[in-house]
Amino acid sequence: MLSVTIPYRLGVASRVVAAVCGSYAVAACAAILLALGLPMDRLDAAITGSLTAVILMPFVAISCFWVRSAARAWAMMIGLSALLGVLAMTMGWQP
Amino acid sequence: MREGFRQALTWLHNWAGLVVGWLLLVIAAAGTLSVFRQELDAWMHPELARGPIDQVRAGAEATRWLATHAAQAPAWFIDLADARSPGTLAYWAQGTNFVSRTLSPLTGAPDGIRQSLGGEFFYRFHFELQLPYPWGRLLAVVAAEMMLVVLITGIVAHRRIFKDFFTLRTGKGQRSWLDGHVVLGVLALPFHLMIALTGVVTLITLFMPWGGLAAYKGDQAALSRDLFPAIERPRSGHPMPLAPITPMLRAAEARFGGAGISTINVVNPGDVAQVVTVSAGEQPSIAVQQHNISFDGSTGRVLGEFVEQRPAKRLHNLLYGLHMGRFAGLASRWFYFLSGLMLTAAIATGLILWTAKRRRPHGFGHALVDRLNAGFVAGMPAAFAIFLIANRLLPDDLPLRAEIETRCLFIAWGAALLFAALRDRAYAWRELLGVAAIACAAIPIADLSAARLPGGPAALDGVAIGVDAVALAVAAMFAGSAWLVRRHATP
Repeated sequence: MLSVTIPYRLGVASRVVAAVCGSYAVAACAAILLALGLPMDRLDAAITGSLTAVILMPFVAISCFWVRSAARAWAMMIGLSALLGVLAMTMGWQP
Repeated sequence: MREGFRQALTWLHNWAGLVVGWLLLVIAAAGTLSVFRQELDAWMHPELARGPIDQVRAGAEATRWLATHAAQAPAWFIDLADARSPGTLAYWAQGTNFVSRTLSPLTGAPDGIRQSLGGEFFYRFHFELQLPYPWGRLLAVVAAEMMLVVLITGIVAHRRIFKDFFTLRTGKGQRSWLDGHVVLGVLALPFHLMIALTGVVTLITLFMPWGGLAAYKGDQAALSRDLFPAIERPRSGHPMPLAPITPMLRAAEARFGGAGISTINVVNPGDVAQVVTVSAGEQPSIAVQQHNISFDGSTGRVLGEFVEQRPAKRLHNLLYGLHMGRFAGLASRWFYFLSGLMLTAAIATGLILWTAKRRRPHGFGHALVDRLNAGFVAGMPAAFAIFLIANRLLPDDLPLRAEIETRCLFIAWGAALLFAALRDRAYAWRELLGVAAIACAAIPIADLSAARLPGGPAALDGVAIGVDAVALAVAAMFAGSAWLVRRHATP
């Protein structure tokens, strides 16, 4: 922490919000997509989807901290949730 | 670029670890103790004889007592006594609260048994944190998910794991805390990862319900029915006494083989629509699968038998069973206990490391973290010890005895946090560590000196020796830490 400036602190705060909310949104969309898309009984698909989502979530959260900027972190979170969400909608998800 | 990657993840490890550290410390400590939840139950109810139990008789007596003392309850939930847990724990709703009583397996009555939550307290506190539903559970599952972040970034932060592992530099302040932290973290790393992930799984329906809701088109009731299959019959309003339960329990016991009975639930007791569901106990296999039999409580006829067969639910149960250590024999239980202690210690050293690395004694943040650390790392175990001591010192027939035991714990903890906040920092740590050592050492003293069952022999069996010996070992560890800190003033 060489130069702790206000823009730096805002950037960190922004990444924290992106990591917390974004990783949950991405994980939830992944869970929904898998629950609807996996070729199994609906309960089996739902459980498999949720298990995959909670394993995925910490890695998505961590990625918010190693991308170059807070803006990229946000772009990644919004992009991934949108992609997974739209794919889920094509499977019949009604948000 | 690679150096930047490692720096970013180290930063995340330090700060995420700090933010969730105190919560994780509490969850890890309570979880470690609940590995021996049944043994603590036995220790905290010394009036009850330990050893083999006639479960059918215990179940029949418990329901007989409940029929007169909890006749109005919508349902009875009975955790039946077994070879490890010598008392039957019954609970039922009364108004908006749940009431629980420890019942004798011989008479079915709570008379003459000190009322105490026993090991059940640590088990509940581990994931409900003494908070109203669902907040405690939500906090616990978020903490578990954050623990995964801390572990994954920790592997990168302390990447030279094996090199660091063989360098334990003692007596060197910050370096020693770092080495201790890494050794504790690495030695049981597979356990730490497993327990964090399976911890999330135990609360997954609360934390990540969206996949299930999407697959069931938002029909929460249908999802619950599929997740937890049960026979449901609405209350009819026509009274009917419970049919003799002994034949039902015998039939269930025979079907379960050697597993024994774990729980008996009676829904709509005293109504024509009453249902008795008997669930199988633990089997010596990791993939504990649900197995239960439901009876019509008015006629004794079998309504249905359920054994989990669905693959994903079996996987879920496997992960759940791994977290609970359900398959575990005594040796595996000790392995879980020791790994849990290492996890607790890794969290404690990590928290201490945060202040040890930043020697800026005048900063407010530094002082806050340091004082909270003392109140949690030394204050929490002292408060847990007070809970066990209160179990021996409070009068047996005190009204609301179980609640007062828990209150003793939280008053002691509050006092420790207050002391850590107000005491001169040069003394706070070593004095609180000293208090923790004395409180833990007082457990066996209170146990051995408390009057035991009138006329009964002092049951100095494996449970008593185990609990008292562990308390002494922990006391010695805290005494040693207090002595070490004496030389360094603060850790």
